[in-house]
Amino acid sequence: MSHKKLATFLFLLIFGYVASADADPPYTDPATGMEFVPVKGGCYQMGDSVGDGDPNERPVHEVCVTDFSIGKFEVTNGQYKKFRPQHNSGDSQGSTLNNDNQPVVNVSWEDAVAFAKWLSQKSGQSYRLPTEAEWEYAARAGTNKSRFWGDSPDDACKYANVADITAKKQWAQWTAFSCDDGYAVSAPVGSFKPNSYGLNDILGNVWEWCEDIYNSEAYTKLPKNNPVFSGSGEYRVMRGGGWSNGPLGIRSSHRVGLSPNFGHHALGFRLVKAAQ
Amino acid sequence: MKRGNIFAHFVPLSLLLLCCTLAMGGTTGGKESNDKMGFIGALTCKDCHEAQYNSYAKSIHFKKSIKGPQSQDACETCHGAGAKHVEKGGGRDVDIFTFDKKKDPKEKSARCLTCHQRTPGMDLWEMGAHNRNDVSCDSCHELHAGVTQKPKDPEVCFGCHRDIKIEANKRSHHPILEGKVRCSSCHAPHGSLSKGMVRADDPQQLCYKCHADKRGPAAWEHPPVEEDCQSCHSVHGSNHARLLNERIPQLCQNCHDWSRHPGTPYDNKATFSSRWDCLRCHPSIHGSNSPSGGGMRHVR
Repeated sequence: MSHKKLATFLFLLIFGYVASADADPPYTDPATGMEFVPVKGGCYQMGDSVGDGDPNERPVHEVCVTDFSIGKFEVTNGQYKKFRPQHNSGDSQGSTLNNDNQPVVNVSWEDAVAFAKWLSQKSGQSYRLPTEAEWEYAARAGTNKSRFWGDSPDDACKYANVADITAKKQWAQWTAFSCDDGYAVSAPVGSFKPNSYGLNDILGNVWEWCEDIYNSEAYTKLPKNNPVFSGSGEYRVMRGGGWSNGPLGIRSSHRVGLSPNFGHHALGFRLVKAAQ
Repeated sequence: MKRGNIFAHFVPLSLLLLCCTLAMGGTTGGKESNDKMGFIGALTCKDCHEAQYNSYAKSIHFKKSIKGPQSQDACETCHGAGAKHVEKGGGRDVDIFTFDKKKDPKEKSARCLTCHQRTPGMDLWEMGAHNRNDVSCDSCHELHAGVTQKPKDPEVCFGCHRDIKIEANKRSHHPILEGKVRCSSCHAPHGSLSKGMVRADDPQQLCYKCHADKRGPAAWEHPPVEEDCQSCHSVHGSNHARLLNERIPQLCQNCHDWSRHPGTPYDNKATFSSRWDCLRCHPSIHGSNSPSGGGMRHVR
């Protein structure tokens, strides 16, 4: 190894150690087995920096978030049923969504918040839904493209369960990615490659509820540090896209507002654990 | 070439031409399906909007006997192509047309008029007061729910016309609340050329439709009857008997001074009351055919 390469290796080793030393260690919730990945806080450009988004993703603006830990996977049916054993995620036109290792769906925002509260009490930790700013920071994992895996459309099926060739066999009229991820509906969590923060299915598989109240002009109203919209509004934010969405829906900056008592077959959530 | 050979070539050529023509016809059909690019079908809509779909399924729009949007792309007939909306994961107003309160009323009505332009009674919609005042179809009609989609009359009308609701609740009123007449018995909510969107050339003619005995002609006309019933009557309701604008004799005294006989009858102990009002002596107030001078004074 040349001196230059050795120096680079040592620099990355030391820098990586320092960076990770500030963040919480990975954590597994004892009650559910839910894994949490520490995310070191930082600043990034939030919003549609590419130009393929909707007006509600603009203006692009700098946002800074503090350290937090976020679920490595979406909350599964098995985990959610420890809270509500009778919950049934149902099926979509004959394909089950209710296996224990599939993400829980057909849960409202209110259900998701109730789950976080229940788990917080059970585990003695402080769990909650991610804010939009935290979610996008985690989903981007340091990237500034539409999707963390880059521009190649075919890569979508390596990293995310999306509307694809398999889904189009069942729903021919959908707009889909031109690749094949092998799943028509939701996949068992962790079936696809994670982003560089180690988060699986952060794009695709199922949509994820966020803490914020939805406001189409939120980006003009919020502070730079740890923004969360809590003003008036009848909808809550969901992020990330799901198994039934094509390229326009599977983007890090894409945001949708839905009624907090609404649930559907491609909408679940993941939790955040507040930094210790 | 022999005649038989010509015929032998003509038939296959004709068949070939026919096939080409049919094929071109098929291309035209293909264009129609291209026009519906972006339609994803009602069942996809149902996946997320089950409640709306179910209510729509009960509505008259869903009836197969009705010419209309009942089809594979039923929802999209009114809401527009849904492919982008689905691709993006939905959301209010995200690449889909909704009938929200904030939407341009004329844009909403235009969607309905795509099919209902020729519905009877819609000819005057454009110039009607409702359309001109930004009242859209969905202001009165439930677009999904209901078997008939007809609005509840008078409840829906009273939602905006609060003053009329108050009048209709007064002591003397047209039997609107009792359900014997409806707002739409007198008014054409989809437009009319007449004042107040009444179902006649003018309000006067409208009253005569039911109150034909007041129409005349009479030998001795009472001019307000010919001119405007509302000179004396509040058509929706009044706190005075017989929907009168004022109690008698004050109502009569608005026009009739004391030149013929005094405003109080005969002595200072008697008054014009319910027993001794003007109509006690002038009962034929809407017009008299009596040949005598009494007829002129509507005494008989």
